[in-house]
Amino acid sequence: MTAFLLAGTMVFAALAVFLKDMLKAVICLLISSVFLGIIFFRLNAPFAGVFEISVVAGLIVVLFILTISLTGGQKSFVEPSISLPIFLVLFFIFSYVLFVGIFRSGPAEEPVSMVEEYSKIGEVLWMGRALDTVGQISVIFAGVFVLLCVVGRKRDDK
Amino acid sequence: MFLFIFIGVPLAIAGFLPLISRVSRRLLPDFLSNLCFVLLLAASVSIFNLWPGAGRFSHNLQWFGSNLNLALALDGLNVLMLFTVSVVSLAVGLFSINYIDRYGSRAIYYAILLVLVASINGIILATDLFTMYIFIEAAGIASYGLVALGRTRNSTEGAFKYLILSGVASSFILSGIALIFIKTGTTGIREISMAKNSITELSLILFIAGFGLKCALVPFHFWMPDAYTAAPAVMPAMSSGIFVKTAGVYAICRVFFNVYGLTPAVSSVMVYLGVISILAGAFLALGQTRLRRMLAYSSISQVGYIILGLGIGTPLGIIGGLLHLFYHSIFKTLLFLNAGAVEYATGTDESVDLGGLGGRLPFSSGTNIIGLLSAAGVPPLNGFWSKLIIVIALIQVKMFLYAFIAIFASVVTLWYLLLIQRRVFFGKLKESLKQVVEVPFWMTFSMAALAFVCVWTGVVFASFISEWVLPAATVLLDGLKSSLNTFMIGG
Repeated sequence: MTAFLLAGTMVFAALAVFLKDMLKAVICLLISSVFLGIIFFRLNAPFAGVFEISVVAGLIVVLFILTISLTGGQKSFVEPSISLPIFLVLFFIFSYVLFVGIFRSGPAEEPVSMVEEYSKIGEVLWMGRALDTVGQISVIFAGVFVLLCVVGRKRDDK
Repeated sequence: MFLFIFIGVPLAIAGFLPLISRVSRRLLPDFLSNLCFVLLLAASVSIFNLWPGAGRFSHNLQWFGSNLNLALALDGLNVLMLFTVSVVSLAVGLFSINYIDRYGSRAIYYAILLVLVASINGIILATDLFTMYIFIEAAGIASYGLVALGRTRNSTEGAFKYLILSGVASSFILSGIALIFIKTGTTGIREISMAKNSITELSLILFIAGFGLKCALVPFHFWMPDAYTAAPAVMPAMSSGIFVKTAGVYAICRVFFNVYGLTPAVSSVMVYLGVISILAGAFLALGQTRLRRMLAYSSISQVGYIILGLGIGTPLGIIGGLLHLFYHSIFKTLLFLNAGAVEYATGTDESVDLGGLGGRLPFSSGTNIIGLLSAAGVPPLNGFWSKLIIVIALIQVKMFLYAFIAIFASVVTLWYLLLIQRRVFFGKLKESLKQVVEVPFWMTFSMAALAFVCVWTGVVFASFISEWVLPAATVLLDGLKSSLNTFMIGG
């Protein structure tokens, strides 16, 4: 099951890069993120899973679709024929590396209990890595202001 | 609490600016942003005076007696970097008062600029590689915003290219940090330097490629000319002036000197990359006719000098590299602002379409001469001393060929910069440029102030080295010991 999810993540991530149609690419990114989120849940990392699905698959995809609609990106595209062979080559290379990694990594460790993990993540975030949180605020501010700048410019152009 | 000013205050004002833009579109954003830059400059000078002159201090911030778990570190290198960032950001902030009118909302522009400054200060003060990475990302996003401010197709394309290549660099850096974490179980600078066997060759290669892309060393340089040409002049001024220096050069210094300790192999790679960048940047700049494109290639060449000086690894080489880091920040910011002033007055930075502007733009022309002579290393301006020290350091370690290349590239720099000065400011005034008038007060003031700093820091170079650069060089020369001897204050 994990192998299937990993393969799905990679396939859709690659498609998100290769597809010329922006909307299709964003939808592929969304599916890839959902697969990755499920993998996080299966690996007993629910916080990472929730962040992945809510922020990457949710918020960021909404922002992308908003930007595409604002910049008028819904035109019909002819997908170049070179995309598929490149993708297939990359897919097999990554799959090979991944499976070699999985076989070499040995048996998985015992999962920690959820309660233990909640307290651990809270401790790490607020007690150990508070400056990272300030850094994340900077990242969010930068992203929002850049978006406001682009959207404002679009309005001016109209 | 004092150190957190450098991150917290610009970030807080950035969050506040878009809210007040409804009340005041011009005055309050201009006033608050520049007040913040003045405050940061005053704070960086105060820190220089308060700092005992040696040692690395890690400060865990407290609020009414309880720990906030915000650990920041201060040493000689940080003090120099904070001062550099403060000077450049104030100059760009003042220049923007008149310049930024044609680039959309003033409040949003200043907000992006303030987030960029806060993030750059975060990179400098971070005690942890992962925290440093987060701030590098934040500064990178703010930089794309500044590139995309230009209202042309080229600027969007430049921003996109910058975004993609910066993403590649970030993934290299993050992979390098992940490898260190796997080896040592920590990302703290002090803890990694204490851990044994933290060095892996792959992580070194990843860091060289990642930080090399960030500071546009050849062969990782190709994003810079497009991004700088497409963006408004304030972006290359900030990027070449401080972003490249912190996300690239400062990070290289921290990782290779204080986390790994400079090994002969890394030293050789830095010297090779430095020399190739010096030569390639200088020759590529020769063929350019657009001012900012030429200055972008010139930046690649000048960053090469910094990396070359640091890569030598001797006390003199490191002093020369760090001195050139500060001096280049000043004169390259000045040159980019000059290019912005020319474009503001004439509507183009294509030198072929310009000519005889010296009489129409006397201040811009005068400050441009000071900037170009500094860049070319003409005495007694600041660029001369830093290049001289690097050349002497090269001769000291018997790298005669590299010393010759450094001098030769300096002559090439003088050649292409004088060529541009002649094309743009000298000769007969073109008919289409007869209506051109000198740029407004704050733009002129900002350029004049930077030109003054170029002259002044060149005249007082000896005391500048002993007071500002020597403590920074000591941090790098101490290598791993610098991180190990960290004094904890508070918490």
